[in-house]
Amino acid sequence: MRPLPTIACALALVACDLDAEPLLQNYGQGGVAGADVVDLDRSEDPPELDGDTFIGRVGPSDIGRGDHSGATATFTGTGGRVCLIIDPQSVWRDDKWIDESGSEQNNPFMQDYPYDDGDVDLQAGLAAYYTGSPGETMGDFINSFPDENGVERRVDLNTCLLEDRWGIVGSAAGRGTPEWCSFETVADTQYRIAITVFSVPTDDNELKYAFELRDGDCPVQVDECSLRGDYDEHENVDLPEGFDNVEEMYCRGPADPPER
Amino acid sequence: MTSKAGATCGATCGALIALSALLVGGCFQEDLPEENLEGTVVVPSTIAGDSRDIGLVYLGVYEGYDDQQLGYPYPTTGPRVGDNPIGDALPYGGTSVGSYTYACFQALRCNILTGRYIDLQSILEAHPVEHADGESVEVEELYDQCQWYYGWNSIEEFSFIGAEQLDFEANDDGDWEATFNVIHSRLPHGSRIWAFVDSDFTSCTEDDGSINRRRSEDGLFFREGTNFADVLNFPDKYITPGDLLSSDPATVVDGERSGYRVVVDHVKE
Repeated sequence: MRPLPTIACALALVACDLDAEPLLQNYGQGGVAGADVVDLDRSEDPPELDGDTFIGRVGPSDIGRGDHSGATATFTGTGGRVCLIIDPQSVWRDDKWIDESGSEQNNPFMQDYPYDDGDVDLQAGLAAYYTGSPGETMGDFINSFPDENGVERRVDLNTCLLEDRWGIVGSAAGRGTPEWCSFETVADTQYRIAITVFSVPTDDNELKYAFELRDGDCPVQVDECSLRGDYDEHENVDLPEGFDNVEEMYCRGPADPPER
Repeated sequence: MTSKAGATCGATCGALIALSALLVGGCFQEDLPEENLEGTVVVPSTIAGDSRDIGLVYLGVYEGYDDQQLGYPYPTTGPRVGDNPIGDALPYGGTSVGSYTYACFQALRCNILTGRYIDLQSILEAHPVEHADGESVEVEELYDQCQWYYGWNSIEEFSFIGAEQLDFEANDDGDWEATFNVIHSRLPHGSRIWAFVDSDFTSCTEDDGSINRRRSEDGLFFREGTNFADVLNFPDKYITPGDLLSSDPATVVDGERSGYRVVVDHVKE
């Protein structure tokens, strides 16, 4: 019996315990909520190949304990390329808008308001490789195999590869910014799309997103205005020039204000 | 004078320190499978007549070796995923001999390696630099520029030149030989140590690396340049004609963690 080391180890374990609460998205929102995992395959109007823009909502992730919110959807491979585009709420910079020439300019009427923005990460791959449980827990496409030397190797089978500015895959877009990818599919084979929440708007703890699944390759340019609908209506906020949401204000800009 | 409280604290603190020592000794048995590996890389003098001509050497410990997939010496790869033309080579670990360094002029970005030059003159001989008016940069100007950029005050402070800095030395056969250390890698029996030499700096990007250290003074924003992050995972992205490849990778043997020799003898056509 060695009481001192035993007690010391117990103390050390307590000392290393992490108070994850300050890391939570929903900190200060009246307690800790569980992750919000949505199975879109069970929704009344799930996203479809070449269907309308799908507008979804997801709750916050508990980053501190690795408990992620998100949504999953399944589609059948076409035998050709498919394109996935997602645009999280709402716009990266509220103090910018698009002018007549299509260039981003300063919006003199606005200050940036980051509290209505969020960030999701897009992944996809063969449904058989997905490690989560739709509607229960979010997962990824990281699997493992024993190599010829008997070493267990980690392999990421996510086929929705996003390149960074140096052309290296594995990147992700940030707050309020769209992500997209395209990849070849095998016909009549089930693929899973995983939309994992990184952060949600802190003003209401809920993220709205626009998503499209398209047949074929992605457009050469995808930007904030490619998909629409990823915004909250702020009834108590007066926006300039008669706009009633920040996304429309950004995309239509000073050249095309709504009629008053 | 020692107070009663102080004496009490002293005894308590002593006990805590003793407990901490017990904790360090008794609670943390990591048993990590990773180990270090040492050896040498050899570049035949028939391929490189001057050690300054030897590009950045990338060396990895890989699952196996396969000269069939791409038609030239290459490690085995994992499964191909998405639009990647081939799979990730999934190195257990790796290192380099030399590294990209910023030699004080933007024109030299991604052109200068550590461990290749004995002095500033040899840098300018291998990579002449011109001013905007076409005049060549002299050794004294390079010295002054480095003194200003890095704040160095003597030639001994120049981190990328010097006889002691040279990686390669001529061995008894007249070939160029440099030591390597693979730190903290899995080293399974039968794995292969494969290397390639990037002779034309394809593996360097001018858009990454440290930001201009004198930005607050000269108002410029640029990066000093560094290697891409995935060179050991996807060497094929950076192997170009003229690069040197190892066609007979060394094989890791259980219990042997030094004395390996990797010859980089194949010139990519």
